Formats: sequence, structure tokens, C-alpha cells
Amino acid sequence: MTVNMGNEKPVTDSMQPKTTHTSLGKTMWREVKNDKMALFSLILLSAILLTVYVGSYLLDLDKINRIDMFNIYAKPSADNWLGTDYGGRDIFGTLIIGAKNSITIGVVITLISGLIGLTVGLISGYFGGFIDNVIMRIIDFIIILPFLMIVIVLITVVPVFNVPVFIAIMSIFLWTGKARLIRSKTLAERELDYVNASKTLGTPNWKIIMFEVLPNLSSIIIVNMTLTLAGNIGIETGLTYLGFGLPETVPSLGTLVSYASNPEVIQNKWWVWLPASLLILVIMLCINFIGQALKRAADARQRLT
Amino acid sequence: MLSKAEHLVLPTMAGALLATFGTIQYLRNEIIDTKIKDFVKTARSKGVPERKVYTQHIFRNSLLPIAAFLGYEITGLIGGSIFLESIFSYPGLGQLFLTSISSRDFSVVNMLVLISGAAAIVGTMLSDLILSWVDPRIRID
Repeated sequence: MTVNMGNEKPVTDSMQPKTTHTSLGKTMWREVKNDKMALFSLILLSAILLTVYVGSYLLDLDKINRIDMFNIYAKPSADNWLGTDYGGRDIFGTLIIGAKNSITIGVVITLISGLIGLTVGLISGYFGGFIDNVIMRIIDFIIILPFLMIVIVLITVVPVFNVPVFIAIMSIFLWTGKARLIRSKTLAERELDYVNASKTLGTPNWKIIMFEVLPNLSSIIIVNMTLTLAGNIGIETGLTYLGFGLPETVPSLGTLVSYASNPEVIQNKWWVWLPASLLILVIMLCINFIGQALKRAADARQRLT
Repeated sequence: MLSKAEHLVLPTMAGALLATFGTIQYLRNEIIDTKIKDFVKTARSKGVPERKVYTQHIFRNSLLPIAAFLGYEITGLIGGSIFLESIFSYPGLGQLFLTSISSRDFSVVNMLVLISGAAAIVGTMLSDLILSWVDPRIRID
């Protein structure tokens, strides 16, 4: 019963095996709950996400983006909770909007690249042979490309650059790692008896992939996506810091950090860059702690320590 | 010369620390995997001192994939670290890349991407070679 999690037909109570079967969600919650660090991270991250998303609806975008020349680099005060930047814009507002953009883009990139990687990896691993060979050579080719450089070049040469294009460019390169991971796990899964049994029963391939192999890989997928989410937010803010990330009109956490490349700002005006840097640090740490706990839930060997 | 070394301290420290933590995490996973294997149990039961079990049995075997990383690290070294060089304004390949792409100097960009691509291939080959050198079970046909 454990190998066929997603495909259980409704059975009467008497037919159910007596072994206690804990679902993946329950195991994950137990691991997070038992790890004080992960639980704290989960609460903190939820609080941050709530503040950011609710806050971005309450804040007036026009008011934040309005340039106020009499109020340049104002210190934190009751009016501007975290002071203002070089255009007299409120840092707190920019921080909320920037965090919202960074997190949303990170999540979308993770989801899209996860979806592509999952599909390609499952197909490649399940069918094997010629298809597998072709797909793996394509992946090898993409992996060998210097990621950061190609991304920067693409961002510079695209005629129209906006958020969807940015997400697309990032996703083109980031699916390969996931595809490789899923492929290797699918290859191992394919050899197991339950797949053979299903094949003998005449289940179509797509059904075996979707309802039998996929549920068994779900824990690995969730863990990998959680851990890469932190990385994707990092890459996005990093690129924006370099000036090759989001367009100027869309503030990001990286925009605030990039103000720190001005020596005057980094020495005397901590309120411009410190909150954004701390927020990035906290978000990434939280995601990583939660990811580690989920990893323990997915891989029993990790629990032995 | 001394000033050159002095200015290298912070960027290299930052780069090295970044690489270290990746390696630590990987090594931790490897050790967790290795220490439940049967040969460790055998070594313990035949009375090998605990310290020796860790250094010679577990650590030696966990180190193999890390050794393969050395090859990939070369790629990063030659390709230049764009972020580090930009933060510390250190004039390296990464900085050159950023300035040339800002001024749309595409022949330089072309060459730099080509160099890092070549470095990646050489690095992969090196890591294969290192792996077959440290792990006698793996042989390149």
C-alpha cells in the first residue's frame, strides 16, 4: 500500500491493511513541528509573507513612487518608517513592494522550471533508450553553458524586457537540474515491481507515470523545489543588484541593495540597504530551515543523526 | 605586491566561504549515507578504533564525490565570479564582462562566454579524471 499512494481506490474499512500509514503531508508536518528551528522559520516566513502581500495591497504605489526632492535620504521617522532613498521615496514601501515582486518571481520561476523539469525528467527516465539519450544530451548542453553570463546576455539583447520575459529567460536554464534529478529517481522507480505489475495489467504508460511513479517522487520534488526557491530568489535579487534584473519600474529587493554600491550610502545611510539585505537573509534562511526539515521527512536516512 | 595581496583578502575569503558551505553540506549528506553501510559495521565489529573508523573508513569514502567537485571549481575560477568582482570592484573577467555588456561590446562578451564554456568542458573532464584517480572502482574505458 505504501508504494501506491496516489492511486488508492476507495476500499471498505475491513479491507484496509492494519499497518498505520502516515501520509507524506503528516510526516512533513511532524518533522517541521519537531524541529524548533523549522517551526520558528515557518511562523516567521508566514508572518513575512502575510505582511508583504497584505501590505502591498494596502500601500499606495503612486505615493511610494512619487519623487520628493525636499526629502532625499531622510532618516527614519514617523512619516517614513525606514527613511527615504535618493529620490525621496519611502524605503519601507519600496521594501514591501520589492519583497512582493522578488518572492512572487522566485516562486513563479521555481514552479515553471519545476513543471518543465518534472515532465521532461519523468518522460526521459520512464521511457529510457533513445528518447532518454536525446533529452540528456540537450540537458548536458544547457548545463555546460555559463548560466549567469548567458542570462545577462539574453536580458541585454531581448527587444522588450519585462517581468514575464525575465521569468522565461530564467526558466529556460533552471529546469535542467530538476530534470536530471527526477530522471535519475524515475530510472530507479521504473525497475520496481509495481510498475511491471501495472504494465502487465495493461495500464497505459501515461497513467503509470501520472498516478503511480509521480506520487512516489512527490517528496523529492517538494524538497527540491523548496530548496531551489531560496536560490531563485537569491539569483533574482543578485541580477537586479548587478543591474540586469527587473526593469527600473518594478522595484525588487535587489534594487534596494544595489543602492549600497554608492560608498556614501553604504557608510552613512544604513536605512537604505540594511533592511532589504536583512530581509533577503531572513527569507532565505527560513526557506532553507524548512527545506531541511522537509528533507528529513522525505529521506529517512537524514533522520539518523 | 603587498597591496595586491591585501586587496585579495576579502574577495577570496568571501568566495572561499561560499564554496566551503556547499562542500560542507554535501560532505554531511555523504557521511550520513556512508556511515550506515555494512563495511562500517564490519570495521567496528572487528575492533577498529572509533577514530580510525571515522577517518579511514567513513571519511575516505565520503570524500570521493567531493574530490570530483575540484574539477567543477576550476570552471568558476576561470569564468570569474561576476558577483564578487562587482561587489569588491576587483578588475577580473567578471568585471570585464559587465563593463563590456554595458557598452554593448559584443565581441568581448562572445569571447568571454566562449572561454567559460570551454572552461566548463575542461572542468567536467578534469572532475572525471580526478574521480577515476581517487576511486579505483571507477575506470574510464
